[in-house]
Amino acid sequence: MKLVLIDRQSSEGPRLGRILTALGHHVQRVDDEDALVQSLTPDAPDVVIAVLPDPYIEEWLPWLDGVESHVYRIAALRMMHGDAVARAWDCGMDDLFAWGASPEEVVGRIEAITRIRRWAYTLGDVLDRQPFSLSMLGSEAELAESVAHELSALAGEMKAQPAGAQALGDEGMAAEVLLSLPDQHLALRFGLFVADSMSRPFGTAVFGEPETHELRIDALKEMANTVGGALKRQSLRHGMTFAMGLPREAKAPPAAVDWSGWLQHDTFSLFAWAKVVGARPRRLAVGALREGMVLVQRVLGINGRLIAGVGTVLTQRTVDKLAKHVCESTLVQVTNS
Amino acid sequence: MDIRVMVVDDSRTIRRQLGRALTKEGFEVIEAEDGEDALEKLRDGPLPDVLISDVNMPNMNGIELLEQIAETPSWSDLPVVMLTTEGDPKVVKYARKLGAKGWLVKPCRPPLLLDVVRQLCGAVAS
Repeated sequence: MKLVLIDRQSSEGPRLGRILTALGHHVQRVDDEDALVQSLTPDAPDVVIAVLPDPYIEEWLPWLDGVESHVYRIAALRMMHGDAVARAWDCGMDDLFAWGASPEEVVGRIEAITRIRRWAYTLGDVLDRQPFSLSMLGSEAELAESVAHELSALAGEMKAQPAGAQALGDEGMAAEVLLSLPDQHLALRFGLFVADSMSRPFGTAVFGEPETHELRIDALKEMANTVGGALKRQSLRHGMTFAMGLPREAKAPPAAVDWSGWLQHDTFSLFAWAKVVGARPRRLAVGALREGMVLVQRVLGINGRLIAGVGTVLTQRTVDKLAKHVCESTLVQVTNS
Repeated sequence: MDIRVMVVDDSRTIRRQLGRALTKEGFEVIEAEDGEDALEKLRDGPLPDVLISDVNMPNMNGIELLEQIAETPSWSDLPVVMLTTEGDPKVVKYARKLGAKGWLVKPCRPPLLLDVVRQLCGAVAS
């Protein structure tokens, strides 16, 4: 955690600095307004501790309001008497403690901030967002048009056809991508299907020649990935940040879907579908995490530094990083991708 | 001298399509299938003049690759363009902070990509 200590040569400032540094935090001491402003860029601190009283500190603090993320403000008061306490709260302090507070109290308060931030982050997500619904992304026809538009760049012009206009072939190849919305415990499956009879024309449209079955599957996965990304970007406009997994081969469209549409090319047709499914998080030990899972909580290192944020789609590298920085038996919340 | 472009994407389709478009315009193309593969090829050399990378990839994603490039002094001048379906402004901002020179959203038509590559390597279209 990055901490800034506003202090003008008090005896308390150095003592606090020593306590916090010993905890592994990066502590910067500033003693004038310019130094404070400099300390806010490029990375704002997590916490500013103002060692009061200082007649100028109230003038310095408004600088913190311009910082993009909330910076926690703690006042270290020489005396915890009524006027000083009231003045500190009026300045917009988030917490107070007295000069000479025991190291245990200082440490406890700083660690509480880590917990409060995690809680506030989750609560903010819940309060700010409406429940996701596919209709937020447009009507059925608009969704089909949007999917056709995305795919045209990869395979040549495609047009949306009314749903149900064609029968789905028995055999074929399919690919899908899963978009997880961790705070709402749901996921959106988006998939594409090409009947075997259309597979070679599909390959020719994408590559200029039919190519192998394996490469055609890869192309279908990339198409699902492209549309998944577009759905994710559309959802961002509604304040929803989906975590998108890697596209994978699927067997066939599910029996019941929330949306489906046919996309017509000159030489082949594609069936597209979307289905909203529940995705309740589960707790897993860090040592049991696997690539492709989505983190539903932030993971912080022992010094409070962020190791991986909410919505991180785990790569093998991230899994290794977590195992290195956090005990392997630590439980974290994830959803499967 | 040929201008070398490294294309990092787990999709063979994208590597194939970009590879063809770039080769046709006279660029030499190096393919890598994820961030780890790209790192290995950067270490083995020769260094590309421009690197184009996807974000969502297995093993090591594009952002993790960008972090590694930013941390390696001998690669810090390598222009990197992200080519991805990812559009989260926070991720875009972080990539820019790490030194990414561009962010193109898939599907990206080859002419646009070629323009960006030419701008970054200062090449004139032949």
